[in-house]
Amino acid sequence: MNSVLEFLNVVRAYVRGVPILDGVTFSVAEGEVVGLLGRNGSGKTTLIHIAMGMLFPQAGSVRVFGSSPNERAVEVKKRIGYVAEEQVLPRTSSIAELIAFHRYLFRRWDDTLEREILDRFGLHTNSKILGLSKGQARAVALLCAVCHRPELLVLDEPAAGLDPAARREFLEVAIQFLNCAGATILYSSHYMNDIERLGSRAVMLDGGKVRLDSTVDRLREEYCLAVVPVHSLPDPDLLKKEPGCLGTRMYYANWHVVFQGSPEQVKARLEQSLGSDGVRCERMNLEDFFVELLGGKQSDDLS
Amino acid sequence: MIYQLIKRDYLSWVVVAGLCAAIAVGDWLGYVETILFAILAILLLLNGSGRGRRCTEFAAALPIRGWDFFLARLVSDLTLVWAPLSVILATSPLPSGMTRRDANIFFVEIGAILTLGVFCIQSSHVQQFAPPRWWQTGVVGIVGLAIIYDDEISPRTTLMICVLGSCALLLRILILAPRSMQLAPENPESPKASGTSRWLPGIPWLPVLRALFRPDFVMIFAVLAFTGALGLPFLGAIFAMWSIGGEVWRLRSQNRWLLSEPVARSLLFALIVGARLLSYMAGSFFQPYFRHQPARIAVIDFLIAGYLLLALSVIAELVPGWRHPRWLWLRLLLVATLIATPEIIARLFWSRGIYTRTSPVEKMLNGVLPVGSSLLVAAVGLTLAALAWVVYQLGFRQLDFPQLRSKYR
Repeated sequence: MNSVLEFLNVVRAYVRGVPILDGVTFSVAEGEVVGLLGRNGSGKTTLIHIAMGMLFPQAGSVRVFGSSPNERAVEVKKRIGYVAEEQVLPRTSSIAELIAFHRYLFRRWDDTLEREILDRFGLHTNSKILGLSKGQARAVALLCAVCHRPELLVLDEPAAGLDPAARREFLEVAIQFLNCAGATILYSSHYMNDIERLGSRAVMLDGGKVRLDSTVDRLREEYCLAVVPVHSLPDPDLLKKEPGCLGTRMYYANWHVVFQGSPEQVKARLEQSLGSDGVRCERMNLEDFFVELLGGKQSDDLS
Repeated sequence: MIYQLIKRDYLSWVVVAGLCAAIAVGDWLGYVETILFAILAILLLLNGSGRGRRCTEFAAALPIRGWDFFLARLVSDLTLVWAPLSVILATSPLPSGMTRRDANIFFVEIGAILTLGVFCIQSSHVQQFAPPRWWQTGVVGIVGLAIIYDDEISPRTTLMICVLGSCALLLRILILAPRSMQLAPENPESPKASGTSRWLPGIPWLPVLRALFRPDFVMIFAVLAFTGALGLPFLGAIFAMWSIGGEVWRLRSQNRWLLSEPVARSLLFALIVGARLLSYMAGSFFQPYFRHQPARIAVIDFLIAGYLLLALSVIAELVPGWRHPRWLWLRLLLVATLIATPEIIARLFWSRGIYTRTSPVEKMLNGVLPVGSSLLVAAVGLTLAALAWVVYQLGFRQLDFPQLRSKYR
């Protein structure tokens, strides 16, 4: 399958010696839905800005539809829809004016989809952006991003700050759009449930690098959490040396360790190799996985 | 595309139209000060953050070339410069000792200097969404000085420098304008440059002072000190109110954190108003040098500015129901009308539109105020204390406006 978006050893720093992205490499295939995960300041938004051509990478390269988003900016952006949390729509414009402007910019404009989104979110075209609620303004941004039927939809924490119902509505429109058009979606969010619902693949950024790149189903099936009492194993280095260990952190009187493998296999392996009692292994959802891997002070480099 | 972008920048066009209308009215009333007002207004508007900005994140994500953003911004800025100057050229009364030809050359020179300023601002950090604020303020300050000391160089030389300079800078923009506008510089900053300044003492109030007095307060200070030095209390008070309005808007929108802190709003208001009053006063000290008038006139001017500022603050704070920012301009318009009315009446009926250096209100106060220097100092001291007390008591009512959206939708 063709790569729609390709990052190759992307490096970017705002302050010399403090790289936000330090060799990020991954690609997104056509029709794929990728959730971009990471803690605050991990570089998700920077990476998305680089993909949108709004930031130059200081090293490495970015290809969107096989072209550089900086060199062939207009051509590339015509094929992309973009919604971001911090994106401020022109406050004095009305929805109708914004739609007219986008219709002018994008020759291919889906009137049916426009009508559908307007009805769904209860938007009136003569309303000014200034008078819209946060959820409605985000819906207008989504409308502007999807009605030209982009081949790549980039969403940078688009539903942050919205109530659960508005967030769900927002995602449903995105999913609906995806189903209809088979577009590629790159979606950054802190809401793990949303990523699980929408994303087929999760890419986790940490320390400027891709810490994990896997499908959501695989994450659920192939990784587990081992809870080891501290009193039975005071030294966490022994755990880190175990094969398949991704990260450890202390939680009250237990070590929480993320392992690759099924809970049964990992439990048997730990009991055999460490001889520690009271080890408990369980499956994790995406949020647990995120917290266990990136939460706390422990952060081991997988590379 | 450029037309589409310009069309969407209509707030700028409303401002330009308002400025042109104000100049036309001022000229009709025979105020030569209108010229100064127009130039100061253009400089202040050029220093506004919106003026430097070429695009937003929303616009940058759209399939629009960087060059189109530049052209739209340049057209808008050059209209801001040349439209008011054209109105001045067409309607302004001639300053004393100037022929129409001299006046025309003078205004074209000013236009050329301002145009060079616009290109200077836009030719910096070409790849980014906006030039740095310090650069914008610096250029506007230098342009202001260049206009003041314009007499030192012949018009031909000035025009040649400005035209060649503008062309060179336009070429630079043309060459460097990116295909896609950038959010941050291409190269990382050095850690020292991005860190906080260390020379400032670590006083606990520093965050509050930083929030209220941003780097571009230098520009407000310069304008107020300049109007103070030239003895233009009405102009000074209107500019002060303008900047106070802007500061109040910033407090509501960008520095909301300050309102949630246990800091007395009266104190915030007193700091905002007091700083502007002191800026005007600082300029007043130099009035005897600029206007060759006795120091007493400077004191009178300062008192007028103080009284006006206080009156405007009281009106702006106490007029009920107009607390939404969208009515700010209406409040300011009312305030300007209230101040201007006695002056307009005075000019129409007393001096029949003939320009006099000292305004009727000044003349009136000149007759009323005591002459002795010790009495003057006492009068000024008492007035300042009274002003400070009233302003402090007045507080900051404009900031109390919950349920904005539901009330005004």
